[in-house]
Formats: sequence, structure tokens, C-alpha cells
Amino acid sequence: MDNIKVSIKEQLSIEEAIAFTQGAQHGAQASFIGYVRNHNEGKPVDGLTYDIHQSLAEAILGKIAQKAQEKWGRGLKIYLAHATGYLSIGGIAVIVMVSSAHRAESLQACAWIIEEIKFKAPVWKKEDYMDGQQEWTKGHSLRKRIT
Amino acid sequence: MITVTISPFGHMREFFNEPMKITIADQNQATLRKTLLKQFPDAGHIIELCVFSDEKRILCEQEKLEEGAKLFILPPVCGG
Repeated sequence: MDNIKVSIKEQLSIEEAIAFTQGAQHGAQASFIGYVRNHNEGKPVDGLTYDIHQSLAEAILGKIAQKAQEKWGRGLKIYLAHATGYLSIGGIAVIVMVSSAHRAESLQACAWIIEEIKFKAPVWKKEDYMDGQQEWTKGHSLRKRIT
Repeated sequence: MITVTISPFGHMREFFNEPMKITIADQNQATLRKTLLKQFPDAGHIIELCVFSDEKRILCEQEKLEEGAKLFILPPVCGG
């Protein structure tokens, strides 16, 4: 997978994403960085835990990145990273960074990739609330996407 | 009859948290799903929406299961 880097790990690095996607031929770099926020559906959130099928997630993120290159050009550099394990408020949950010669490809690919991750990556999120309760976040079924 | 091992993720961890061997009457995923529904009736709403995978890919619904397969049950996802 040329110009693609995918990873699942506990600590994500924006600097690593920037370094990977920089290049002399690339005048544009677009990113989406997801952080853990302190509320969800009206409930105060204290932190959350990501549960990830790592080998499958890496394969699916890789396919998403390859599809983005098919749509917006092989020259795109794409860095995708998702956090696993516990994160407190403000922790970086996901990084999507894309670079290209011109801005349109990077911006469009970045927006498309994060939506694909939301609906297709085998990632589950358990929220810890301030009242001590915990709950798995409702998600999107993969079943209708493969039939 | 075949026996497969199935491991949970996400919401399914509320019902079993370790890889579990399960014997089913045939190689159909529908049979595996029915067996899980019977074993975990309180998880019915989740099991109906789940898919099965191996280490690297999500199985197609019609794909036959192999004896000894190591599978994962994947509830609705919420990455990002």
C-alpha cells in the first residue's frame, strides 16, 4: 500500500501523521482529528474505552485508504490511526490525514474517509459517565453492508 | 455437526467475555446465529444485527463455516 499508513494503538500522534503525509509534491494537507468530548446525548462523560478487532480493523482501514486513492488519485498520501483502550476527556480518538498536490482532493478524501470509518471499522466504544454508569454506544450494523 | 470458537466484541462482551466453543448442527451461519440467540436470549436484539468475521475479513452471509474455525461476533460498530 504505497503512500498509506494505518495503525491501531493506545497513543496517537498528530506529529507522526504530519510527518508521514508531508511531501515536496503535496501542496495540500487536510485532516480530521477526533477527540473524546465530555458529553454525549445529554449525559456528562468521564472517559471511554475503545474495543477494536485489531487485525480486521487494520485490513478494513487499509481498504478504505486504497479506495480513496482509487477515487482521488494514487498520489494521495493517507495516514489513518485509531486509538484503542481507555481515553480520558480530550484524548485523541482518531486521526485521518490526507495530502495531495491540490486542496480539493485532500479535503474530499478526508471527509469521505472519516464517514467510512464511522460506518465500517470494527470499533466499539464504551462510555463512562460521571454518575458511575457505563454504556456501549449504539452503532451501525455491518450486516446490511455485506448482504 | 461442527464446532467453532467464537469471541465477542463490544456489546456482546456483556454476555460472554472469553472465546467460547460452540457446536452447531451444520455449516450455516444462520444456524450459528440461531444457536447464539437460544443461548443468549437477552442479547437477541444485538445478535440479529451482528456479523461474523475471522481474523482478516467479514464473512459473507452465505459462506459456509469450517470445523474448528476461529470466529468473532461483531455488533453494530461506532468508530471515530
